Amino acid sequence: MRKLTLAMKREERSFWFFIAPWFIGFVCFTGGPIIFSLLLSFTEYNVISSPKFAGVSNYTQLFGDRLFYKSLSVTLYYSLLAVPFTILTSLIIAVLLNHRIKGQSLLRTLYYAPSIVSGVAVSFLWSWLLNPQFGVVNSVLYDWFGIEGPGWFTSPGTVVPSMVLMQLTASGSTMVIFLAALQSLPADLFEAASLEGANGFTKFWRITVPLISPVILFNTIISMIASLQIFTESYVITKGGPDWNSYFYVYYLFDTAFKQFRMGYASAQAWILFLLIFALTLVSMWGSKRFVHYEYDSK
Amino acid sequence: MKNQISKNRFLMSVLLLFSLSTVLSACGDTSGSNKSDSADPQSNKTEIVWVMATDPDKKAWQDTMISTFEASHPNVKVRLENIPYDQFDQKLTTLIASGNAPDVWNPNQADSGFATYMKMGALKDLTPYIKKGAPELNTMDPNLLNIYKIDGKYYGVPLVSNATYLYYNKDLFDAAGLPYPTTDWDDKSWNFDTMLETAKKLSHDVGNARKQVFGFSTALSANEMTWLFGGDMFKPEAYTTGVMGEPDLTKPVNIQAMQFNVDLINKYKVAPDAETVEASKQLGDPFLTGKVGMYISGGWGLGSYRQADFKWGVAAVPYHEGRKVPLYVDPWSISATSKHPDEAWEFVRHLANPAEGGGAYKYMNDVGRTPADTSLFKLWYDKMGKEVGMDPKAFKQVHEGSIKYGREAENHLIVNFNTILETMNQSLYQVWGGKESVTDGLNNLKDKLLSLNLNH
Repeated sequence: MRKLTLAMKREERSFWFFIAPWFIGFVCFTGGPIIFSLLLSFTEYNVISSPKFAGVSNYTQLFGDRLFYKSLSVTLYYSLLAVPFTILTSLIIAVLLNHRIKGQSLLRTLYYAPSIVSGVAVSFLWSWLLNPQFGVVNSVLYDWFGIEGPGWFTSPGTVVPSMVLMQLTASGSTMVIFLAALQSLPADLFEAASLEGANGFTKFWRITVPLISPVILFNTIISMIASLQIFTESYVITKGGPDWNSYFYVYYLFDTAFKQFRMGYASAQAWILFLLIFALTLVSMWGSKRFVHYEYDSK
Repeated sequence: MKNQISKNRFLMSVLLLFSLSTVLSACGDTSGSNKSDSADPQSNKTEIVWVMATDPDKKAWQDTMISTFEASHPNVKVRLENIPYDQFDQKLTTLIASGNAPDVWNPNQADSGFATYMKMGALKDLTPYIKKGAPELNTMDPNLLNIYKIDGKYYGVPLVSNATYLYYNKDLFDAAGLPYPTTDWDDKSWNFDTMLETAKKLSHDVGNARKQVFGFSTALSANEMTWLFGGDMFKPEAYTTGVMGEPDLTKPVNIQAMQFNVDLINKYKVAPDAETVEASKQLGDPFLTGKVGMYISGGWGLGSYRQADFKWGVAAVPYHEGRKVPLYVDPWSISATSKHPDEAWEFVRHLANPAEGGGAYKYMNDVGRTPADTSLFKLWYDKMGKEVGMDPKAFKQVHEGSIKYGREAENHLIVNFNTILETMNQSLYQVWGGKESVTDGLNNLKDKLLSLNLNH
């Protein structure tokens, strides 16, 4: 008994030893700053002088701030469009890449490749492609089809949809997760369905979708979180414009923190966003119970 | 058991080492800079840090400045740090906050400007140094020096004084058979009505993105547009105290100025709409596209339009009662926390030296920017006249008119102007598009500006 405890102790020590680099890193660079930002959110802090306690004034100010509501609504609108778009396109691409064809691995690499390029570079690329006057897309639309293309990032109505379109080059990891799920599906179910005379669509809708529904839920939540934190696109391409229509929540947060140097206010914004994401995640976990099938449920 | 304890100790010390090295590496940046700030023990050299916004036009000039200074001051080493323009304010504020402020820099290099850094307390009072005697400043216009004099103390030494002009595309004027606009700022026949007539004759195919030519456009902010008509969006004390205060947006002259610019876009169709401006801005300067006949912008165009593939000239901004145009006087400043202010001041003197080979001389001559020092103007007029293809006398007239009707730029004087400017640009988008009346747009802007809570 004593020996066992000793072994367990030793194992526990080894555990802490090996986890130490990560743990210390987390405490210093992630956990610590998170706690610190919570404290800061109750202060006024302009970086130059030391923080002054301000109670909940940052939060009360935030709820009277018109730009807070504007940035929130723009972000939710983006999220509402971007999440279904990302899930649908990456699922479709994953299904196509799951077919056994020549050059399959090359194609998989090609579709994943844009995800490893920096968001800034990708944003520059898109801003050139979609420049209404000098961009390739509008030139092609005009020269080949005689259509005067839209203003893309420069017009208030199309700026958010244009940014949703940009997700085409950013959804590589979502696609890979779908692909992995598709490859783990048991072939016998499909064979049986084929014998029963089910067509491709029925098989997809009745077998594939239910079986990968936990993965769909996972990807939905991950892309929802990512979409609520959208920043690079508006920072690089539109600077929040035109007419505040891409003034996303995190972009506003960046403005208050690093342009106006109101760190307390920005921390309050960050915590509100955290609570929002947390609540939305809980809601989607709870709301999806009826549609998501885990294998142990069906047993 | 003893063995166990020693093992424990060993483990603890390893853990401690781990955490210590993490903490040390986190501080590594700071300790590194601190070290370089102090005297280098090996060569007894003092190092000062000079920060400039990245600009390829200035690279050769910067290198020369450092090598000539180090040659005449063998005990001082100058370390140059270039920061990209759009990260300048953010990076600099972080440096100041972390106690690593550069020794010498120009606070007006990005959108925030002098007032913002002054309010932070980041700038050193240079009065004692100036009083001690600096022959380099003898020929400096006192009015320029006074721009950065706050409560009787000097916080900056001017290096450049960009004015505002009306640039025009000579090729487009020639093609339309029009005479070039005047260089005389007091010629009342060159007013906004005649400018509109000229713009109408220059414009064609507006709406067809491939062929369109616009008679007029401007780089000015909405606030500066009202200056041209004698208006102002902010109260006079905003420019002296640096605090925006309650903006004064909807007075009749402001509305008139804004309406004129809205009509240029939507009614007369001689100016590009917001979308077109946005699209061409993504690629650089709208005037350089060669599709704009007249363009009101700052004096840096004299340098950057040298690369244009068309002929261009500079003229007076149209006359209007009470007209004012922005001047952009940039100073050299020293950080309040500089550990080597004496050496930094020597370097500022070197940069401000108007004698041949000195910093100010070479900045005018090599980089092509408008000098701040009076003794350089004659040389500069001759040089610019030749480059632009104008009589130096005419060029002198244009520049002196701009100075006469000039006032210091808004972002140099009002704290956090980058935020105010962004709010202005965003909120007035619908006004430029003709979808919202000028009055409604200005009221809407007022709400947004006040909700920024900048007034404390």
